[in-house]
Amino acid sequence: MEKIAEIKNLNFKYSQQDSWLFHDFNLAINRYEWLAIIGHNGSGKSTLARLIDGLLVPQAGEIWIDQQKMSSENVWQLRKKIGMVFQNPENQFVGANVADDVAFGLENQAVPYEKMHQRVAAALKRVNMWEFSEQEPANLSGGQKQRVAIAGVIALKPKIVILDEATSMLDPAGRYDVISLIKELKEQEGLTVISITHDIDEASLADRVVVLDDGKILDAASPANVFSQGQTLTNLGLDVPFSEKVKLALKQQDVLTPSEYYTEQRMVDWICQSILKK
Amino acid sequence: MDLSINFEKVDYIYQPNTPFAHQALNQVSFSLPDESYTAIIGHTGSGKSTLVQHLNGLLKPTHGRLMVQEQMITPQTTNKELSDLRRQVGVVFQFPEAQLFEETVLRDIAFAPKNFGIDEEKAAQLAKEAAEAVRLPDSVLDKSPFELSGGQMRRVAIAGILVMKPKVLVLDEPTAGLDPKGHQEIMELFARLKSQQHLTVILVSHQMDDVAEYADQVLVMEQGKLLTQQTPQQLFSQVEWLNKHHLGLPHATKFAFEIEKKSTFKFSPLPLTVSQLANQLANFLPKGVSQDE
Repeated sequence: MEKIAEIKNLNFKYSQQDSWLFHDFNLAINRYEWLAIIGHNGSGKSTLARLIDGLLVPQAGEIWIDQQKMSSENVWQLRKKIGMVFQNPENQFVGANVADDVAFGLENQAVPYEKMHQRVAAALKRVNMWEFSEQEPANLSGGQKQRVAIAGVIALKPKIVILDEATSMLDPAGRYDVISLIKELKEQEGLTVISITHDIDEASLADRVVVLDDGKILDAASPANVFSQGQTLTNLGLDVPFSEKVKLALKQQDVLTPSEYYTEQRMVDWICQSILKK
Repeated sequence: MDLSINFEKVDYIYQPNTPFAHQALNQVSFSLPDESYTAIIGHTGSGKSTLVQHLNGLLKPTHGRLMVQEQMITPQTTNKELSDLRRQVGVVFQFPEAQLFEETVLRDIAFAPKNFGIDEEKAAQLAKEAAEAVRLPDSVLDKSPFELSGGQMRRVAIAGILVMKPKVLVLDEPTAGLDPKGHQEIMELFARLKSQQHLTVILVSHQMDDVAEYADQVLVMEQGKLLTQQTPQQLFSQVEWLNKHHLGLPHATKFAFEIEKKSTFKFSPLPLTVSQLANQLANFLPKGVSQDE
């Protein structure tokens, strides 16, 4: 499979740290993949995202983006291929109104005025925020602000979108809203999505889940495979899917539970059938 | 039981008598007993934050009155009259660690008592007790708060509020941004503090699982009005009413309804947490040790 990003033998630590956060770290991300990265606070998730975006420079190792090796000469060029959406919607709204905010990134890239207008309008329509284009940020909900942030990202036509806990401050409706939007955009725009998240429902949408702990990859597999390790995830301080929580609670009461990972729907079906059998 | 908090027809209007006037609270009346744990739920803009800002007098009602820990607050109450109340009501806002500023953890926690005129030595003693209450290890007390992890920084900020020994603790989405383990630890910390220090707790939350797990009553806000005050058990049994107001259910309750839909099994009472769900199901499911272990 073609790689859109590749990290090879990476070594990184912050200047005040004594030991490596990442030591000989390797990870390849496929084009058009949805990759979820899960791990507790401080496991290195956000640092990894900043390394991929060239915001942090590793002490050793290589980062390849879209077949090019990142260097101080091409980092600005490569960064255009990557869009990032951060956690706090308040901290990433820079424009006086919605349209200005989306235009900010395009202005930075010196996109001509006429073209900029078209791309702002197109991006806002894509995220269903066009009718809000003249609104001030104060009038928007958290979910709407994140949609504007996403419009700002897709207006730049990136190949990779990194969501750094982009839904963690939203209410359940806002969360659902943002995730279904990303899912749709990924298909239609041919994006690769890297989602850094604590939200297990968000991670379950991924093609592949990477479990990160203190800069090491503990597991990298399909959501079903990773989630079947319920107890391991809990021990790492991570959430597990609700069906696994039910399974663990039943197991503690000596119920004979299925060993493989069941989705919530399948778990409901299993319980209903097992009750009937008795 | 003694009342800790009593609202009587409280209105709050932002920018009154201007074209921008906005009524954020509309005739809100309720009372909460001492040592209760109350969750406030409702959508963004429903008035939750405006309501909790009345509890320590950050906002005063435009009309109506409220009583908090025997302190009456009316539109005429002066800030000077409220200084005692502000010691008794501790508020943990979202991302409280943004307010950390001192050079060491201990000095940061001791800031409030020193500010209220308590001498250095006594303030440091109180700060150590508060650090212990939130289970901060001694080894971090002399470190800069900014060297700590997100979860520990939040503990420092919470200790800085507990150090004043409040009677009422107001929590406005106190675990936003923490990982699941940090979330659980902080929520359990509040539950433990409540019973040890006999606190009245008010929690603003979107997370129905927390409401189900910790609260003994729920206030539902919508467009500045208090819609209802009920126990979690009563509230989460009314699925249609909740749907109508676009409010969610605890995950375990949703799961229980799915089982009832697809089988003849009936839960009684409706489970609100995973352990309640498993307790009711366990005796009707096959027992034994699975082969994979």
